[in-house]
Amino acid sequence: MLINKQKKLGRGPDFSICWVVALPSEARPIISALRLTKTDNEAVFPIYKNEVSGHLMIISGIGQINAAAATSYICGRYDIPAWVAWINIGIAGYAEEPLGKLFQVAKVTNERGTRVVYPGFRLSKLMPLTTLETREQPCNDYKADTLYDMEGLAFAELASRFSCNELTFLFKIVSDSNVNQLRRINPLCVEKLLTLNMDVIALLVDEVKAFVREEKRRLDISHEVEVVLSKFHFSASRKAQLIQKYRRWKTAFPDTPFSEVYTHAKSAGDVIHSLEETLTSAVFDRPGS
Amino acid sequence: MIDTIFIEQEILDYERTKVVLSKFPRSRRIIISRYQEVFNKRTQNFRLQKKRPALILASKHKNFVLPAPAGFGIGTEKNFYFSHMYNCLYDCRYCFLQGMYSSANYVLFVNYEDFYSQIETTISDNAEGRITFFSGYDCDSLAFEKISDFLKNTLPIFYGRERVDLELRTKSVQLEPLLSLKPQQNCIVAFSLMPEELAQKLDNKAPSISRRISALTRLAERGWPIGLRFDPLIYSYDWKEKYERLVRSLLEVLPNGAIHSISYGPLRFPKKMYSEIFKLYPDEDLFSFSMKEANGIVSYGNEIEDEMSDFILSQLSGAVSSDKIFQCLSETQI
Repeated sequence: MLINKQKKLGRGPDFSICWVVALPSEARPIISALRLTKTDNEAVFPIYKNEVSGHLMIISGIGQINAAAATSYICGRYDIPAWVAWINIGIAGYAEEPLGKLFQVAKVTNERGTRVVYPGFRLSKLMPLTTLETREQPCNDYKADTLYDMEGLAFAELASRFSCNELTFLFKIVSDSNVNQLRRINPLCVEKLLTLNMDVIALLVDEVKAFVREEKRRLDISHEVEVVLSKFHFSASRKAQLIQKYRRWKTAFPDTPFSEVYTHAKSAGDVIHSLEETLTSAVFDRPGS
Repeated sequence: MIDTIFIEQEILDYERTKVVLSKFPRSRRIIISRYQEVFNKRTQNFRLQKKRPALILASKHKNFVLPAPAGFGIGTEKNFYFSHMYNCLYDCRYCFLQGMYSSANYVLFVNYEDFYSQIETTISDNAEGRITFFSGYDCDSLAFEKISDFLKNTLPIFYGRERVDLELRTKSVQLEPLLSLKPQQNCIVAFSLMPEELAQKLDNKAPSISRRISALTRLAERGWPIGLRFDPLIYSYDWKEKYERLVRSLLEVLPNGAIHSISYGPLRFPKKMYSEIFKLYPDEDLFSFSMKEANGIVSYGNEIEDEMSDFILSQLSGAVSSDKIFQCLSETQI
């Protein structure tokens, strides 16, 4: 699959959450609630976004291959940074009713139990946690305490590599049970199940965004550093040194403009040297720090 | 609050598993094959996980008792440690556990009897001289006691063993079962300490120093031997005044003869561990100071380390007999 990265001006859109959803009917209530608009007409999968609120969504289609392909595709095409959270939400089978009950997945396996992932920071105050089994084919004999879907495992395995386990979330809504089996997916019913849960979904989005903000603060390269990187030639190891020393310097001297450190620098080495010199006066627990 | 407990299939029917589970009636239980499948995954985010760690109940299969690292000890030649638990309730910014494990979840090994059996074997294999066992190397010895009952079960193993000591290393003010039991002279309750101002910034989620001092005073008054552990020594603005105040406040309240031992050691990290911890907390003030790297170890450097060691010794001299004071050295210093 050829992935053309979106040409971006500057740092590009600042996405917080990347949604991977199998069915259009699962996506519609979220598209509506988050005011997403269709974008990127040349993309292989349907893609929606809201750059203001930081949401990006891809509709993958049913099955693990589609879920894996769509997850990788959108990550590559939009150059998603490591602090972005990934959410897979959709319907699933469950032994017991009520239909429409929302779960967070704490463990996802394949049918034989040979592949297993433990995704997500657990939002147990918002919804119960359970186990998900991802099947290759639909089934209709559900074990107790286990959800069944056809995408979750592949999504979890890939998304956690692009970000981390704690920012990879799977939420499933019970669409059918042992006594109320789904013979054919009815898009209107699916939409209704999702719509019923939009209040909780809005809350979980807030929680997830708080984690994303924290991770972005930890991982993002400051604009001040980017300016210096564009001004001088830094080798890969010097770039790593610059980023580390800048973080230490910023913590020690939060009110000093960075430009003061490299005013007289003529090379990357000078910038590093100047930072090192300044840092010799940094000391832990100085008054006012 | 622990909301999720992962349980190894193998220990589902253990009585101790059931007791621990009964303390978390509302938790979600998830069955796993082995604890490593949750604990050792490489894509975990320690920092986010630390906000709400899960508990993993597991069975340990080997390495119940291990030789303590060289330079780690309080006067005996033979030193061993055991870890019935990995990770800690507290979130101390200098702690090596942050760089050691990819997971912040707590692992509790419930097969205590296998630890006891290996402790017995270690004692018989080392029939000559004194031995010290250290608990609290990969966790806090007391902080999880209400859930684990580990000490309640373990202390009797050490009753009446004249040539065997047990050190419980802690920052906890949770003093049971110690307050309810008759003090054991071979069981040293060793409190990790640093100046209050520094602990407020670094010992996240841990009891304040004043509460730790109250706790160790209570234990000392009951007759438990007390260890004071200034490890690591933290270099900071006005560090001499801070440590002077700390030592003075300890010596003022501790009854004569209550101090079993004092140890101190520098802040040091293996280079890779330092790098891991820095990546987790790049905005931590503690790491702003220019530390030195030599032979794969990141430290304050010999000059500062020696100055801090000399100062601590000067504060203690006269008040505590020198044969009770020990310096913890890393392997590169020996």
